[in-house]
Amino acid sequence: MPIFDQGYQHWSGTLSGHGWRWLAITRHGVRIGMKSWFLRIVILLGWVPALGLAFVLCLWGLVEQKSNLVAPFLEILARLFPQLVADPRHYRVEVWTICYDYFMLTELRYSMILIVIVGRTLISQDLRFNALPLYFSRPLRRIDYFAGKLGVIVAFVGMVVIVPSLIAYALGLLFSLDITIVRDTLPLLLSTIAYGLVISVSAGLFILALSSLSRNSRYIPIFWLVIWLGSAISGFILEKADRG
Amino acid sequence: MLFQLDDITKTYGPIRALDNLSVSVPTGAIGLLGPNGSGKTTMIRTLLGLIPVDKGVGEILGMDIRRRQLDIRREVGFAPEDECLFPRVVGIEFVAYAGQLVGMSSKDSMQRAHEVLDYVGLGEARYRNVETYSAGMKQRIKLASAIVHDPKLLILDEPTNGMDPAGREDILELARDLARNKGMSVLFSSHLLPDVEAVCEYVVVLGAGKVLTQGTIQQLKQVHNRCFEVRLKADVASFAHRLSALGCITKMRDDLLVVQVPDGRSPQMLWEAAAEQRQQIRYLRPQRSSLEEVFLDAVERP
Repeated sequence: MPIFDQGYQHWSGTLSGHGWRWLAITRHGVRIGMKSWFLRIVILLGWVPALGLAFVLCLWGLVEQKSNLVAPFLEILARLFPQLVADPRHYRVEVWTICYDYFMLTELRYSMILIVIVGRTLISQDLRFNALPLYFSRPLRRIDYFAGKLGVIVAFVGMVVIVPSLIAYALGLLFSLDITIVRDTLPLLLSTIAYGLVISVSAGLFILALSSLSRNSRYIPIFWLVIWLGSAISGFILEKADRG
Repeated sequence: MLFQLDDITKTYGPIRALDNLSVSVPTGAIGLLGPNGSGKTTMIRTLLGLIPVDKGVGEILGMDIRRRQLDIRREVGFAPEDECLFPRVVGIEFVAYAGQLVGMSSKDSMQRAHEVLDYVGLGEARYRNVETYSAGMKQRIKLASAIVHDPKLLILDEPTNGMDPAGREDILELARDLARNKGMSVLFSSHLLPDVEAVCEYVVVLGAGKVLTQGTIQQLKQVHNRCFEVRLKADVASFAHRLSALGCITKMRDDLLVVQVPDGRSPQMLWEAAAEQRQQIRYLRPQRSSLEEVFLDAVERP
């Protein structure tokens, strides 16, 4: 035994209340997830559409100012859509909406991949390593456990959907140098946040349900893919039938 | 009082795991003994508020087991019997995470995790993935995660299961140290009587969901006034034969002759019989029940 070993010491710190206990699970899940280089790459790739969104919004900001920086682009645009260049502010909401629409559509598909990568192990690994007795012998309710695990998915989806869209919005605002842009596009921003939350909560609940079905997390992407593609195909067929 | 249960009944379908169980236990190191299916684990789960009971009331550390489950689990540390791990973490993260789940801040839990890992002897392995730990190391890390928040009561469910003798002795030493030197109450559930005897001062023996016997080990291992353990230098068989002729009941246990003298006779008759036969008595003392005998007696009693 080392000479400086003091053996067991009592601890006299304070414990937090029960209300935020789920946050410990979320923080831990995010930390463990970020250890994976594969997941880090997936998140970085998820930022590529956001870069595109930010680029277009910034470009549009400069178009609205008729900046010399985008003079060649303005010339091309003037030939194609002369009314657009004549009064770009008039088309602001449409342009921003189209940009965000494409961004969210891309991120929706990307989120489905991200959610399955993050979510498949969240409960199945706890089942495999029999971690549930360790959780529930501590002051934790089932809802805390579940909320903590869902929080992990919301955090990761937020990283590729909500945070980039907020940054792109801020950049677009900065490049337009016009505060009225907030009045025009704030509902768009709020809708984006709400859309990100809806995606992460609904798909997150579903992947957690799948994750709790098996101790082997390898099967879960297969279930996920079958249900995702199956529901898309069914939706397509029903839509065609309805129109036909 | 450490905990008190009154008339607790818990059934799983047709099986009564706890059958009108009433028990009151003082603070200190408590051994929970009982054969498989006697209700030990169900009693522990009841104490932690992990399962609802059908009937009865109880308190642990002064808190109602039916109303204050979360508060109870803040004050109690529990190391489950089965192999259970938080996946994909190293030792230090495992213990710190266990602390955070109880409500410790990240900074406190990390500092405390280092301290308790040193204490349980896992200081060198703190940055190793817990999935690569040996069985003994997994038991130690469960112990570390159970004491990270300095609980008032530590519940150890079969903590020496599957361990080699050296690892087992280490765990017993840690449990003994916590109970005797650090003022922590310990509820030690095991079917290994020497382990319980090594750590605890008080035992509760369960059988078929009821308390069969309870008390301090010292009390339970009572001295038998008419029974003596004798070791001789030479021929034990002829001496036993002579004592039987004098009305004693004799039986061999290892190298000892256990003699029950008739009513009203003193151990002086053993000296006299030995003198008659020119035998040397090397060892003579009143017989004391072993914990094993106490346990078997309690379990087999109709």
